[in-house]
Amino acid sequence: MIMSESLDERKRRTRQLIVGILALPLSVLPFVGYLSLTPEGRSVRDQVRVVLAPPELPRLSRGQVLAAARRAPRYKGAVMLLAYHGVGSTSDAEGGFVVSPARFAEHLAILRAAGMHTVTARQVADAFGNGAALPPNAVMISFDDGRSDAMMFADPLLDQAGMVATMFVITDAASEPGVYYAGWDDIEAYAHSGRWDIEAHTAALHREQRTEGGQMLPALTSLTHGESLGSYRDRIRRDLARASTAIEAHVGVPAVAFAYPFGAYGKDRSNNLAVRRIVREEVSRRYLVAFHQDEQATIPLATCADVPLELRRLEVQSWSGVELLERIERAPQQRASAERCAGAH
Amino acid sequence: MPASMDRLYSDRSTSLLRTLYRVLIVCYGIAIMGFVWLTKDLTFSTLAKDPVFAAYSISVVIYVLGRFVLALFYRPAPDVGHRPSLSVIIPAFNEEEGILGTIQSCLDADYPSELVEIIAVNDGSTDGTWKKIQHAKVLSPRLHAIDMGKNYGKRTAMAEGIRRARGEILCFVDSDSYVSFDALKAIVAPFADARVGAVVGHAEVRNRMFNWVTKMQQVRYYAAFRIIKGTESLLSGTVTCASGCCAAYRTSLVQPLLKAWEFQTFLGRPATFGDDRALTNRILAQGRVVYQSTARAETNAPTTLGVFFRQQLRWKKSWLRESTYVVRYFWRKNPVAAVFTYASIVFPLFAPWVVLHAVLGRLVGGNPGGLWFYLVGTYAMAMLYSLYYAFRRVDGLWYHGMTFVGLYMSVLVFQTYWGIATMRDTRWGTRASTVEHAALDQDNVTSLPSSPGAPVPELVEAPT
Repeated sequence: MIMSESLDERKRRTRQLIVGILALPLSVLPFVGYLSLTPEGRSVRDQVRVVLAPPELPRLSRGQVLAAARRAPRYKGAVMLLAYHGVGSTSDAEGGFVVSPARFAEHLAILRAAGMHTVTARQVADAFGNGAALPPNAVMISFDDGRSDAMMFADPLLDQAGMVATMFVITDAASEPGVYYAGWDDIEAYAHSGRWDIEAHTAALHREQRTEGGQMLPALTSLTHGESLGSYRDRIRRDLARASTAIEAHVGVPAVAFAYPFGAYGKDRSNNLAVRRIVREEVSRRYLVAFHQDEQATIPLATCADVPLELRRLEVQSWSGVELLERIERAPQQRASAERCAGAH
Repeated sequence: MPASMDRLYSDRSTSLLRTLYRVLIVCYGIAIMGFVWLTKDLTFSTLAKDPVFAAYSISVVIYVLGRFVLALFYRPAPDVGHRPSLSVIIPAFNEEEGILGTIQSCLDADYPSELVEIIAVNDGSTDGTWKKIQHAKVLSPRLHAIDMGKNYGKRTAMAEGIRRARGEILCFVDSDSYVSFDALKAIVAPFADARVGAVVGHAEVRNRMFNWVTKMQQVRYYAAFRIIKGTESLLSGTVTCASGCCAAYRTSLVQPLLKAWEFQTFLGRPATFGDDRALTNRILAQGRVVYQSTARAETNAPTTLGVFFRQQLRWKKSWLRESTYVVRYFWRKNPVAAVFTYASIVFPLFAPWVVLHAVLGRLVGGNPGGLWFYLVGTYAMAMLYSLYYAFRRVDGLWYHGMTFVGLYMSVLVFQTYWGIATMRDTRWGTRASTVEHAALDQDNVTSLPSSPGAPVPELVEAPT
């Protein structure tokens, strides 16, 4: 037996051992792939990241502080509306806009340095609908979809900056959360922190549907096969009602603001000319203000002179803090004084 | 003692590198469990949408991890000098290659020679097996050699061995298996406890370095014995299968069952295979069956995928047949063991549907996220399974456990229903043995009883 253990055999064992040890690091690859290539996987990775290294507001450089002072906006009775989607991994398979936690932190730091004050969608609704006053240099930071990564990363930063934000939640997604969407437990906790205003983003209409021409159109602004205008109206009315009921049940206050899924409100990406009117009527039954993000080239400051159900938000990309200020600086200011808003009341 | 086996079990070395390696493996395993924990929301979120799938996934994870955790507490019975008289029975059919080595390993095993008899039973082999046994008999008169005259099947060979055995304990060793030097002392140790009716040893794959098919089976064997039999043993001695490669029984319990077991039928067909599971089952219904990790044996595993699949199908059929019996009495056993055992019967019945649903359902349903999650989840479980081996045995074979899980998920899970469909086909599949029961014709049996006290000379070199 001892002799039968040839040199060959011994070599073979050694080779097997080496291959086995090399296979250990290789075996990590499927996990790495999952955590970096799939949306769910990235969310899982982000969860770990936020626990291991909580995001922090950066100390601005001298140059940034100077730029913030130079570009600090001076306006009253108006609000700059910002739309974010995800905060987390820098690439996003869903094609949405995702900024890194570091970028988002820089945005908050520079907005603060420029003397801007964050308001929630509820405050905007109060101002435009009820004539309440807005703070000077008001800015609304909003997130669409109720993604867990956005809340996870943004919340500690908002806390450090003493700022508030608004989350437009897809309520059905929150009821069946995965790793990707935050569940009601988390959303309620965020709402109770006082930093988050929870508003509506439909219950289940955040999807595209195949319409008669074979085109894929947003479910909120298109008629499905053989759908009459009456049943279309019913469909979206029931959905918005469901979204509002869910938010009130979980957060305790009724939603007053709405964000259009994909920013589609019926002007385009629709297959019926009546859609825009019906959408506006149905949205107005429940909400005071509604937001989209069309025509990104020029986004003006929002005032009470705007159509409250078609307010335009600036879709924030992975800009530097100074670039963000430049964008805000470029926003054309419509002439609408605070008095006129108050007068509308 | 064969040198290869000596090296095989010398993994108690505690060199720094080895310790470092093990720490690494443990950290890796913990990281994977952390990953599973982090993704639990994903699984729970599918509960509402897909309750059967989610419930299955969660139960399987709990089942697997539960087994792993319990296995940590398994300890073999200590050798307190219990030395009952022992009959080692080796049934052999067309095994001319390995039979001498098997007999030699049994003769070599450390046990008081006046208390042990080795019985080799030739089941009408058509090759030179009987010649080899006779040769062994010449060299070692202590051997009891029996030739049944024609092929009756393994059960008859075992039964004939039992009928001629005189020991208080019967120990079965397959003719392609080899026991280690201390295996016999170890396997009788648990019998010091009167409640124990049967003991199964720890088997590994002898030809494990041959090719990927045998490497994969080595990892499989290791986990099956250490984890499954280990936990079953821990839970009030409820091992459901004392594998034929090395198992011992209390003779007084076997004798009353002998006839029913030898001529067992199922669905009107003779039960030719699954002799080990059938015998264990009948002992377990009235006593304890434990696993003894120190009673080590090695067995030759199939070297081609075709033979491997046929062997697995045969085992599956034995498992199906015996499960119909297990479900009737297991609720009276240790409750935790009962939960595990019933779960282990239900899971394989669900598994093929779950796999099909997970893969096809998600591909067709356009939910690639779900598919990736299913795949990475399965991969995580396969990794834990393989890392267990990597931790216990530093031979670089661990990653073949992944191959096994891959084959399991793609082929073996579907064998359950194939086994049900072909239940009445009782061909062995891997050898041309008879499939009908027949009473042994004693007139044609040649028995060469042992000459007690005869010296034990060294046999010829055992083939490797």
